[in-house]
Amino acid sequence: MLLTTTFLTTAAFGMAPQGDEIQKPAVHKGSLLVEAKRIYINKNRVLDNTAILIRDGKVLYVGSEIPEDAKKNTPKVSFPNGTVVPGFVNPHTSLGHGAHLAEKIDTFTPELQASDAFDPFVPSLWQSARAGVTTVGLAPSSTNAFAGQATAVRTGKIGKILVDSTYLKMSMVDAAFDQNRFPTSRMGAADLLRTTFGEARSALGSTDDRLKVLLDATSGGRQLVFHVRTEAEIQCVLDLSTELSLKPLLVGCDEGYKRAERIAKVCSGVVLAPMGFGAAKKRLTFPATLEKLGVPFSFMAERPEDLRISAALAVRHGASVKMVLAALTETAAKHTEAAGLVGTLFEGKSADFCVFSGSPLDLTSRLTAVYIAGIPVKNLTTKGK
Amino acid sequence: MKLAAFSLVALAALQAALPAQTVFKGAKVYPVASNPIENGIVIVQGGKIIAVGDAKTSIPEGAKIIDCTGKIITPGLIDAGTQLSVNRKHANEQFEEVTPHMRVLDAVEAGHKAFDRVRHAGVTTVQINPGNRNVIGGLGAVLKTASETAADMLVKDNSALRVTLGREPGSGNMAIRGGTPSSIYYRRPTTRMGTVWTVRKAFYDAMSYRDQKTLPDPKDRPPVSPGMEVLVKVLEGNLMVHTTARAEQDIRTALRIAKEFGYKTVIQGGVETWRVIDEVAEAQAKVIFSPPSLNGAGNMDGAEGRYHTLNMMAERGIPFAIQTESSLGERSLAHEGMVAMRNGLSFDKTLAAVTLVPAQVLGVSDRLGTLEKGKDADLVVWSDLPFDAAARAEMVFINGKDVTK
Repeated sequence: MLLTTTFLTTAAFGMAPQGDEIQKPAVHKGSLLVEAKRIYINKNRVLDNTAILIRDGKVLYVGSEIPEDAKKNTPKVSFPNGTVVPGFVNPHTSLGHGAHLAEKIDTFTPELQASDAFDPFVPSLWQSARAGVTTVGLAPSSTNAFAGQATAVRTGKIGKILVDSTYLKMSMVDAAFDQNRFPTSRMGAADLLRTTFGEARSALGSTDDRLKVLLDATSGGRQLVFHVRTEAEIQCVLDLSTELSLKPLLVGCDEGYKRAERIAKVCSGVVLAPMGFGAAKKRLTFPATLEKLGVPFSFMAERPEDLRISAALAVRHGASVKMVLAALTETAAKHTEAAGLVGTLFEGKSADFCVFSGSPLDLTSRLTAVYIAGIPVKNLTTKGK
Repeated sequence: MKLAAFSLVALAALQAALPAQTVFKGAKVYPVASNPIENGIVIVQGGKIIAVGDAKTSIPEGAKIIDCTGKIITPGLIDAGTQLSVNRKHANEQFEEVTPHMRVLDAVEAGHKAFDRVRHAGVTTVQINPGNRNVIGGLGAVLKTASETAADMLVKDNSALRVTLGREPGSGNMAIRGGTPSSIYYRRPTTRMGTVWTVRKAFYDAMSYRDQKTLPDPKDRPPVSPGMEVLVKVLEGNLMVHTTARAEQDIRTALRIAKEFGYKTVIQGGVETWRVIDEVAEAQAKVIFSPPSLNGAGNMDGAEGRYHTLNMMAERGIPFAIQTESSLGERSLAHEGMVAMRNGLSFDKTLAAVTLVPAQVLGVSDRLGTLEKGKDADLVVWSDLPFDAAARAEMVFINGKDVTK
């Protein structure tokens, strides 16, 4: 029976079986051929006048790999003047979940998961999708020093959790120092960090959920992410990381430009707070500095449209187009711990992409279409048809 | 002959490998450890002082010479009590009133403008204390005033444990009178009595913790407590206490508690030392004295200052350092010295109170406090005598590095 089915399939699609190799069926109901003037597969692979073939919400073929007959028999969407880039990724946001991400009863809550607070119908998911942000890292609030575990979420009309538990979010910003609870000061937070990470390391194999999460974060099982803003907060995290041999990812990092070289030595990367047109020049040139120092960076924002503005300003102030596009997509996906699923348009990745009328980093370009898992959530080119 | 030539080459190579030497020439040098030297010479290499002497001191060939003719050179000043750069919120972990293991170093903001401000005024080393809102606030740190990171600035971590007596730790606290406390300010102490009770209880707890730690059965031993460990260190004489006590009853209490538990304390503040000068002299306590220019003003205890207190201490042989207690560098240490001199303190005693004595009190006199061979090359080139109103710190060196800018 199986043999017959295989024979019929290969006969129907005109392909000869080659040993044990699994053959990709060339035509399928859930397929779509996307043609565009330019397609960014990732930062190192940019194709002109080409196409990608997507199936069941994932990228199946890229450019010249698409079989000729598949091209003929697949429904097609064409953007002859458009630039296709992977959907943008925002590694750190609250998506308007507000108080539900802030468990203020205790500051030490590494076991809490943002996925438990996730509301798939929250309007910000749709707003994000319409602005080209197709994946976000939903992070616990910065009100706790040990805030909890983030989650990677797909945006759209109805959101979906892609990765349930991702990075461990920590906070050193002012909000973490509630004057009616421990810790009220950075000294207290530093002491808590020292004690708990020490405990976690000496309790290898412990069944305590909290310590397991900490141990995971110190041994590279998950990223350790610190929310910091001022130079003092950054210095404190850098000092503690050196002392405790941690390699954190910094989020926010508004005054990071004051300590760029130390950040490069100690940290695994930086997720930059949104930059506006009025930001100080030393802040605007920080992405370029990080690029020079070889530090992976990405952008975060509470308003999804700010991502692209921050990126464009980074290019205006010296960062390369290549690295800034990666910051919006590939690097951001890594920082969200969803790089296996999104962030590039390689074969097997989710077919999340944006179509711009020109370069995505030119703010005069228009976002004409957004697809999430191969389904259009916005397509201005087909309006009225 | 060949061997001699080889040795010469080797010597030359060795000299080339050594760091450059800098010679400060022509100034009146105040080494503090010895008499002032007219037309003196200070030679610095690799961050250390390698020679201090008069005009006859031989100047090494190829050394960089800085002409300081007509200037004054002193060791870099040491401010034994500050909260430099530390935000008040982060200087106090107010969740509990006893937090001995909190390290102020975690709250220090390296690169803060306050460091530049005091350095420009000739201060090269400071002790930074935790805040005064807790009875036992935590551990201080001694830092140099120039560098990029707290770790690079650090001279001595955990330099002293800060204990605060008097009204300061209790101010703002409220007594619990039923109901559910909704604020951490519903806490002890609310009175001077309560403050003293809190200190004594902490040390009694530490004594019992120390005893229980040595119990034969590990099951009976208490879990490790970082706070108690610090207090045990104090009880064993391995950590100095700096007790903030301004009014006379607090100074007496500070000495009494130290005697009771057998630890050493430095009196910090000491505004009313003039009232209890005999007790302080008898206890052989050292004093880190409040800014003379304030003369006791601005403290919560209503302690009354007297301008002649420092002179009395000098007469009675009580070692004292002068502190500014500033957090933003708002008070200049040299200016405080000027006020002390104006009220009769000799130049030598004043200079020692901002150099050698603070170095001794902080336990860093092996590296700092005087201009002597082998000590850190922290020095200031002044336009006039440092406590002259017109004196400017024209050049400041830390570890032999020019940090004037």
